[in-house]
Amino acid sequence: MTTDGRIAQLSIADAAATLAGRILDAFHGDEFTGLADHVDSCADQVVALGAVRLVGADVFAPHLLLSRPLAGRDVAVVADSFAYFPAVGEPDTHERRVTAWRDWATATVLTRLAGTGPDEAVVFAPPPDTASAVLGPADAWQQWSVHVAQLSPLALPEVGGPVVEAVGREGKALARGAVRAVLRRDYVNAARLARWVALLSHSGTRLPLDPVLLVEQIRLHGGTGPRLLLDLAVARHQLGIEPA
Amino acid sequence: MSVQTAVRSVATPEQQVALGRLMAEPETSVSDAPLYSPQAAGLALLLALLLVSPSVPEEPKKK
Repeated sequence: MTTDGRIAQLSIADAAATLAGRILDAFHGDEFTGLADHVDSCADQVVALGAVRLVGADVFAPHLLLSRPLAGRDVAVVADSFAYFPAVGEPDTHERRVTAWRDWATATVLTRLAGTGPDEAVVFAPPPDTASAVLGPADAWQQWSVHVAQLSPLALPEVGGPVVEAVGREGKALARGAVRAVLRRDYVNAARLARWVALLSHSGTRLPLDPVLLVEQIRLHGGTGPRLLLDLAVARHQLGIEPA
Repeated sequence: MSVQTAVRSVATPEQQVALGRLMAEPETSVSDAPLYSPQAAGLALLLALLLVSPSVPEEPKKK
């Protein structure tokens, strides 16, 4: 990767962490000022729009889980993020498949919340691919769980779709992947998998591990990264645990 | 400044590649949980030590 590419990656990752922190404030009872005000307050609005695309459907977590109202300006910001960073065309690599599914989730949630989407072609398109194409075989649960973690923004209520159904059928592989991530001290991936564990637990799926203990273990050892804490906040909310 | 006026038509290729990589982040490159794996060198050393070790002394026979 070129130096410019590395700088772009770090800038978008930092901006995504800042945005996740703003969303996290809503879970702690603070006022969520909205996406538009946040992007307007950023020094580099282009990078801020990249962060909106990266955080994806999670930007709507306060609206989905806390019933916060969605402003029209926030819809425009998501549309801008899709205009500046175009959706992938043919998902021919794993990276592009993951991106396509995450974009699909963003568009699906936006459509359900606002009745419209950032881009007609994105919103009303069918799911970009089969679930097995992006997740791989659940028998190879180590790799499968990493792919599931990459798709953690889909682990929100109201998203649904083939990937959620496919993950829901593989509770044992998911539990193995989550425990493996904790043992590897890869708490970022562990928190992303904990969201899926919480979603399945919330929907009544029986799992071979205690989701509350998993979330508490990650909270105690996972550090203070805003994106990790946002994943945990989403998981805790679905499990009915008070915010940390 | 409005967001609508700030954006250009499309991101640079570097920015698009960077976003794609961040979307599909791999797991961190820490080691797996420790697992037992027998070492071939250790087994060979053990055999060699057994071979070169002096034989067990025998008790002299009583006449």
